[in-house]
Amino acid sequence: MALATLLTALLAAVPPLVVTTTQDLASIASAVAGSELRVEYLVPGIANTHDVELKPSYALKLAKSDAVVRVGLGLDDWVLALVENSRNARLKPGAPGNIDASENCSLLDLPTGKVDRSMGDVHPYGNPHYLLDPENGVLVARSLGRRFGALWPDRKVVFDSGVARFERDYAARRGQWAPLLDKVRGMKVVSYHRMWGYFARFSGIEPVGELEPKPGIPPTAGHTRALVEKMRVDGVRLIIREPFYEARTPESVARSTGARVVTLAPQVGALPDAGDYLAMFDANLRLLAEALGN
Amino acid sequence: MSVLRLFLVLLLAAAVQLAAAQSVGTPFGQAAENPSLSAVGDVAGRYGLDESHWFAGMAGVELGVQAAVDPFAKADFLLHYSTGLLEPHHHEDESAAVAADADEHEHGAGLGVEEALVTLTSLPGGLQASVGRMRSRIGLVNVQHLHDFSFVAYPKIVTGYWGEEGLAVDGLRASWLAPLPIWTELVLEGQKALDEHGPDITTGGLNLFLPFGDDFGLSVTGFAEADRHQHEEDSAEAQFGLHGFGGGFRFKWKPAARSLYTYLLLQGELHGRTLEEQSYTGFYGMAEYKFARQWTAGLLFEQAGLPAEQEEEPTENSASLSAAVSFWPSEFQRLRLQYDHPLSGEAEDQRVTLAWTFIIGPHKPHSY
Repeated sequence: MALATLLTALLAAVPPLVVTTTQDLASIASAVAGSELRVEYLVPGIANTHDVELKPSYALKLAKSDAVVRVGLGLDDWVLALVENSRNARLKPGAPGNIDASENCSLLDLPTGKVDRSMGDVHPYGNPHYLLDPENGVLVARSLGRRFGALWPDRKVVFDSGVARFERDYAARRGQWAPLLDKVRGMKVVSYHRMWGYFARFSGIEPVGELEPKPGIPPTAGHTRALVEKMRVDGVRLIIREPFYEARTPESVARSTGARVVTLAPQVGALPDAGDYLAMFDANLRLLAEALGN
Repeated sequence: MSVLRLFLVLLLAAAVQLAAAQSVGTPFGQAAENPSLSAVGDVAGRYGLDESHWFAGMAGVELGVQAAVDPFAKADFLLHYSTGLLEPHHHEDESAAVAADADEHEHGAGLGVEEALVTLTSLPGGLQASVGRMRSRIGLVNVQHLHDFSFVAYPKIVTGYWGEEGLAVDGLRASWLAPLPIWTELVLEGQKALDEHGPDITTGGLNLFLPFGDDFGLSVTGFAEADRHQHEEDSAEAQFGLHGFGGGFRFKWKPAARSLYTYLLLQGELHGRTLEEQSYTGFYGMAEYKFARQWTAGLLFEQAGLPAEQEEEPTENSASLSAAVSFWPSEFQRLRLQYDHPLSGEAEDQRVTLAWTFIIGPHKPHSY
């Protein structure tokens, strides 16, 4: 009896495990939950979440977890196959432990007409890179606070204070970013993949094109020639490269146009300085400003 | 079989309507509850040194309908229509025969149910169970659909020992995920014959996966198969016993930071099988390397003891080497050029195959 009581007490002392699909979501979930939850992620920030190897070890991690947090909007639908393999009923779609972080976010690129793959690998529910706008990061933090509070009501106070702390941190950073935002606002940029629309909404930069002719389709010679011409006409000075894409094409376009290539972090962990969610914006704004300043 | 053909036509018509509904960019309404519909097409051409072996055309179509039934179960239906074009013994005259009567199953040609199963997804204790027709989880390749394999045909240990398209089980599968620090899964499958001449099949397998950081992974598998073995067509004598076994490994290096551009896959399997009171063993080893975002190259060596056509020499040793290069214009279509070189048998068996595979619809991701 005493042993059973001891075991129950030990199990109760281990915080519940929350697994997120990406390092971005893990960073926000950790900020909300503090030490009340163990938060782990599946795919590191250096990886392209469009192209994920479905390892059984991921399913094993999910088998042991109490909740899964996913980006949604089709970006990480691969996790649903892993959830099925995990045999963990707590994580099934529709269960309280299956959390779609996009549910309250402000979205871009919502198609209004017919969508098919002749348009490339488009996402019919909206552009899923919404965490590149920190305002959406705040909305996700609030949403996670509510969902975690519903799952673990006895820890709700901690989650609420975690959300409030995250909002204060963001407000403080926003003040620090003001001079950098003034510097980069209105800057025309080209990126490798169509993923910087949300960052543009936040920072005021102006994306004018992508190296990929359509989302998910590798650069072609014809599209690159047309893009070079457009960049010359529009006076584009910067090409944003995401670290998991090759460097040869952006550098070639940069040589043809006189633009500079700047490698930014599209998600937490993609660059050494982007160690947490707000630090990712520190790093990206600093890199953009430096690229303009030199 | 004509009923199946009618079913396929109706399913295709439904697919067109549902795809149109799903293509509107809203998650709401009836389309959100429709099942996932997908189709995989294979167009191929082949040239053999024997000049009668030159032909091209549609090789096959796979139509998939998949959805959750309710919170406790999901259903998968996969129909496959094959012209037999990529079967090892295909000849032009057979192609004509196939066109004349698609219901014939000579050399794998015809329309068939590849998989039709319901899976219970809410069982406790790490259990999962499926009932219906399913590709057996013996080894690594047998469970794969051909369009997911790295070469244009299954290895001979699959087609020679388990059936033209590998082993499918009409029955029950139960799997259990052990509560251990590494992925350890036990799988048990059973098929009870509907009549006394049909095969009873039982398979058991163990699957392990060892991750090495974010970039490496090693799968190891082993299985055994027991069936009721009929010695002669009309004989009442039948023995239920262990008639198959095997094991294999899959090692994959795919650096997380460059996953779009490179990976290396090393894989091998050894199978043993008793057929007509003769025991055969064989193996294959393969390597596939992704050397650019849209390109992969692969090598396959295989050697297998196979039933020979001449009864006085019941075992024929077949060894061959295949090389394939694949180009992916996008994630949803692939061109593959493959050269097969026999190391035993006739030099005329050399073949060059060009296969074009394309996918429409939300093709489900496959496990590692």
